Amino acid sequence: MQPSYVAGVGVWSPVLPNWDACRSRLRGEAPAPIEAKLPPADWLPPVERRRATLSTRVVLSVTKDALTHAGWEAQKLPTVFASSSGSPDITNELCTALAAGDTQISPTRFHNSVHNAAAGYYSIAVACHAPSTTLGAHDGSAAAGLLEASVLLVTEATPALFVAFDVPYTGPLAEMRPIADPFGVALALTPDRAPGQIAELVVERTSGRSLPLSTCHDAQLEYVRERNPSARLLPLLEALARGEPAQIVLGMGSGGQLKIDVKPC
Amino acid sequence: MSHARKPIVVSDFTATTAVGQGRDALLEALRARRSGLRACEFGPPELARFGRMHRLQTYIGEVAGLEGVELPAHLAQFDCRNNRLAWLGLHQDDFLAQATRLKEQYGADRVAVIFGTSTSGMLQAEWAYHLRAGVGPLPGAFHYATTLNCYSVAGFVAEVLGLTGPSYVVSTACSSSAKVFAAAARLMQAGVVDAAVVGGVDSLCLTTLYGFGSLELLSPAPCRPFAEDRNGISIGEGAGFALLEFAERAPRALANLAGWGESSDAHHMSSPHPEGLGAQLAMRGALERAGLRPEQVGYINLHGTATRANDAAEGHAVAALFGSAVPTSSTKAWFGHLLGAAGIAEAAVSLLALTEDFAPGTLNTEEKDPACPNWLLTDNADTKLDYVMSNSFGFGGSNCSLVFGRAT
Repeated sequence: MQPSYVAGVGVWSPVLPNWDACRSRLRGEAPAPIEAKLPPADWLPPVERRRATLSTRVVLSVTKDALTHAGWEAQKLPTVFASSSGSPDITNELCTALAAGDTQISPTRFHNSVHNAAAGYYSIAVACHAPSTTLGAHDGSAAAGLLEASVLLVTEATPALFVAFDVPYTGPLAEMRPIADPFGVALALTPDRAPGQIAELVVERTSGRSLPLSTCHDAQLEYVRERNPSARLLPLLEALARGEPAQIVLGMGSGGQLKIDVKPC
Repeated sequence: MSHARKPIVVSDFTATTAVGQGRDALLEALRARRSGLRACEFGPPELARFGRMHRLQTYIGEVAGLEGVELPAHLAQFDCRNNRLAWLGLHQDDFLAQATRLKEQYGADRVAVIFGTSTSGMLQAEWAYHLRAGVGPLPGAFHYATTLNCYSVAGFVAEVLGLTGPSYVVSTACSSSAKVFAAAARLMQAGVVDAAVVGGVDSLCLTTLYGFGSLELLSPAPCRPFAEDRNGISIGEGAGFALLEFAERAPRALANLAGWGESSDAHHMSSPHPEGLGAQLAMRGALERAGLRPEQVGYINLHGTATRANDAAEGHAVAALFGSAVPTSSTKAWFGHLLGAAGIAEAAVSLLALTEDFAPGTLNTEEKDPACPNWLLTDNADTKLDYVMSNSFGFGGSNCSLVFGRAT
């Protein structure tokens, strides 16, 4: 596909609280911070802020980070959100209550259970009426989302914000689907070359599973990558942080692989 | 616009809902104005052993016979109500043969599999938690990735059809399986694939029944879209499928995918913008992409859930763009609100309207709410249609409008 350009990056996990910290860490310039706290969802009006789930707060943190770096307005920017399980803590709460015979589901918990809840809160936070898609593909979610975002850029000739996020299950589902820590990443992507951009990406979907999947150089981050579907993007973040050309390969389950050629701007 | 757009056609489609299995059953029910909604007594086998029959003061569109659907042994890990419904729906009409033809013509790797769902295999998780009875791990017979995870149904369909192209699930609540047409068309236009199997499957579960109950959005009687005394939705379940190909390579075409429009309300998580601002943006986007003036659309299949707020907002949005010049109706009183499968089921209704030259009039609604300014059909009308629009709007303010054109 035609190249796209990364104009800004946002990231949040307990060991990578924002893109600046992430970049320093991935360049080997700074030690890992101790357990960072998620910033308050101060973009949202007070009512929505009280209702926001962990997923939503991660999404608001990384989107703000990426938009700030890119210097972009959000109001007209299409978005693509990718997540394996949306708000898995809500799934556990709903199933636990129903199994106990409690059928009085909280309306807020119910609307927070939809896969696109975080996207909905984001659109309210930034007053964005542009098209937005939320998708999932299990461990291939982040790759599928980056494919959808890249295709959107190419076919619509528009910039877009791509977001991947996953947070841990709670309760007994946590054993069945272990997700270690919350992880979110946002990429401000555009089809147009401009000064100050971070890198050029050429995204290509390939058939089969023949290419080795990318891993992280940093051992602690490799642990994170393996245990959160959205953290599969960490090798891409490493390449962006180091400003080095790289070829990143992400798995898309039975749907092949995504090959990303990264060239620093 | 820098990117050349090649025309895309719908070369096959099918739908299975409470009114019956496959296209003919749907058409017959629409023609005969026969609803599939029944008083809510939901006691699927998954929950039967826990002694619970879920009787809510509402009507539901349940697909009959799902307990008797048996998946082949090699697909056993996918077994759940949602994938049984998918299996049942896939085996209607000529769909499997046409999907196989697609695979042979383009190659398994050049066909995308893009599906919509809202709750996926949620009933299976509800069953697993019941079995656990508050303590210990979930039962070993519960397969997370192939049932509860939202990707389940796309993975299942790809496996059944032997397709290895890119596959994922769009999950944007009630607009999910309308947006799959847009997502798949973009993958085709970008050259990633040559064709796509799209669709949506959503099945009844306690979460949606009691969730909409606690939002006080369930109608105690069969839903009455756009009626002055409407008072909520009837929930249903269903599965729908369609094949998309480029017109220049498709050996057959039932309709053109003429346009689509997507937007966000940015207003509230579970209530629409009062003037339907997001709905207007989606419809306008679909018209622009199709290169149509509003009056060229012959019929609009509304989202029309029959809640006070949704119908009022959509009625205003439609009137803002189309005045009262275009006939519209909601078909939710036939099979209920299929949530993540609403988009594909109503796309199927719209495609039938286009191919059979008739517009279904809103069932159960005799007197239209005068506060809704759109032209509402309350009886079926025989009319030649060149273009039809289908609206799907969901929680989180996610909107999608599709436009289909008569095959040329």
